[in-house]
Amino acid sequence: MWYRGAFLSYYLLKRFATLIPVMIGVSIITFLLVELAPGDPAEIILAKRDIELTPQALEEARRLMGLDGPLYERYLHWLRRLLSGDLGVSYSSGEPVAREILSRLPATLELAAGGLLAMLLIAFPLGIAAALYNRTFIDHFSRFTALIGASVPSFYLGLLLISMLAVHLDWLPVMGRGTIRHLLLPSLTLGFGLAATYARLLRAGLLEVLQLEYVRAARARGVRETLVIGRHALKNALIPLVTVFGLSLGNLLGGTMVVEQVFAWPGVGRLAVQAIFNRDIPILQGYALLMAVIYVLVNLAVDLSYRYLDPRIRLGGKEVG
Amino acid sequence: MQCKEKLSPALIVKNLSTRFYTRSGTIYAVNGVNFELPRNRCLALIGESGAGKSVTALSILRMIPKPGRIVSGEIRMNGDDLLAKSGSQMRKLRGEELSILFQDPLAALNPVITIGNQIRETIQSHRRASKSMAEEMALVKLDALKLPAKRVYNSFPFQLSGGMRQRAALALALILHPQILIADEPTSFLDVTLQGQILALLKNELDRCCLSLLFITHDLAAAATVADRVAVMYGGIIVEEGSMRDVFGHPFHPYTRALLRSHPAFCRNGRLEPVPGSAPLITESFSGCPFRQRCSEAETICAEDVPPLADRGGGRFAACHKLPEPAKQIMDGSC
Ligand SMILES: Nc1ncnc2c1ncn2[C@@H]1O[C@H](COP(=O)(O)OP(=O)(O)OP(=O)(O)O)[C@@H](O)[C@H]1O
Ligand SMILES: [Mg+2]
Repeated sequence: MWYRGAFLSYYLLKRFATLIPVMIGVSIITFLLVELAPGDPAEIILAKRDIELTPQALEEARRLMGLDGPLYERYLHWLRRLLSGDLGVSYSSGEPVAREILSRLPATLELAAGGLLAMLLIAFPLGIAAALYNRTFIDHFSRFTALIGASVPSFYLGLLLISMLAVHLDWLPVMGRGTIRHLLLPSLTLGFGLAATYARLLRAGLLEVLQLEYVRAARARGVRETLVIGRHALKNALIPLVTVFGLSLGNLLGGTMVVEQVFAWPGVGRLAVQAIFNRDIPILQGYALLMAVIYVLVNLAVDLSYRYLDPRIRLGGKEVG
Repeated sequence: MQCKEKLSPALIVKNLSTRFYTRSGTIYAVNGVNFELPRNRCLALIGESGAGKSVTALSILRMIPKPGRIVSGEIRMNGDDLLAKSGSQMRKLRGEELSILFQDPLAALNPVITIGNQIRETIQSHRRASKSMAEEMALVKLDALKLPAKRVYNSFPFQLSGGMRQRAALALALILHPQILIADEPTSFLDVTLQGQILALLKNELDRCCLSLLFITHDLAAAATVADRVAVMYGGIIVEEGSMRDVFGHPFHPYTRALLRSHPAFCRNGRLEPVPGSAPLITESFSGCPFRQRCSEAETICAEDVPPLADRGGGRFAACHKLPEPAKQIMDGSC
């Protein structure tokens, strides 16, 4: 019906409008990175390029880099360039930051997708089995797995997996990117830690929903058990999970950084770690901006899927959970 | 549709006992219940809160939740004992031959699935039916229950009014034309005008289809308008059973008399008297009449034996030691 569509686009518009102050805040913080970072960027860049540090050269460099003038003026100057897609130039490579980041973004997205998939493939069976076989061996096994997943740091888990599956058994490549086989270990490392939380949350949610009257009513109508679990229970148990996913997205993004480092995965996380060592502020600025944008957009998508899962919110205009 | 009058009862419950083995002790919810549900008729099951009415209903469906268990008895439907059936046989029976309508339609309908999809999955769980065939069936049923079929089909439960919701729930329960419908206080969440609507629909379904209705209720007036026969439950047993007119006109059992005196529509002299004392939570295996502590006529024998549900002639049964010696006993109400 037309008003549903209108309602949704109005809602989207409203949500995008609230993003504007968020993004302005993000841009200010990112901009201040340069200001707060120790050392004079102009000096650093001159040193990197083996140019003699004369006062004139410094002055010239500052002017070219937009580092002279009062703070707000420099911010506006920086913002104008940012909006035209110019994120500055990497101190270390001299390449435009946007190009450096974009060329590595596919690798990171691939890893994140692999990690999410691994997370789902571990969390769902584990959580569902634990709920259905509540307080049996399967439940305890799932609890134990979750405990390990939650407490072992991912760099350690990554090294463990490398030594077991790649070095000793020689089943999978140790590091690098290329085939699906290269993706397997990093995805597993990334997904396992995240899966732990979700498996337990899913178990708790399912156990709660399975107690509810409508599940009993569905069974009283002779609805097949696969539908009772897979549709009646799961759909309702997913609603709180989706919210948690939006909140824990930071873990996933931070996770890619660590896992990329462990597996020498050529993504933006690894680029950022190198940039930290090189004091390559423009790259770090670009990275921070990218992560903020991803975070905000994914949370928007989470909100929308929440509405999709719960028709009371989608159609009723009720904003309660 | 006119139904062939069949004489055999739709459902025979014999000596049914169900207990809950909770951590804080055993709860004796149902303690040897006996009744017959006449075919194409309505039997009202009345009694105070905690008497064991819902547990009886769930026992018939074999859906007693843990830590409960049916400990003994027989539930015969078309000659088969439901207690002997396997889990998957029971699943096939539920919804198809034996349905239940719960008290609160908002709780009994899944909030995130449309009414249409809930009806459709019920049909498709039992029969091979294409999506459009199932939809057609659903629309016909919704229409028969005087609902705006198309709209309700596409609606989520929260989009319907309370009365529409209960009718949608009724459509779900009746979609496959079950022989038996158990309605567990189907009107207590509705206001008075809507109660009338649902009762009229239930009566209509009874007249139109081959449906036998077990109508569980607190509402004696509602029972009187719908039911042909009535069974009075107390402390997990049936204390009196008979035709509506007989039982409400000349109650035999002291509890039935007390219950009727407590209801505005039935108390004779216009003075309402609540049943003295409160309903028991039975946590021990008991001997004697469960009602004796609240009964003004109780004597020593009432504490010794459980009174059997005895035939008092004229299709009436009552379980009380104080009544004159019955002509013959056909049912044994001991537990
Ligand atoms: N799941 C359960 N666990 C433990 N005890 C239960 C459970 N369900 C019912 N009981 C107990 O069984 C007894 C009978 O309950 P039941 O629900 O059948 O009463 P009822 O006659 O339907 O009452 P109401 O009119 O209030 O619905 C009660 O004492 C109740 O506490
Ligand atoms: Mg009840």
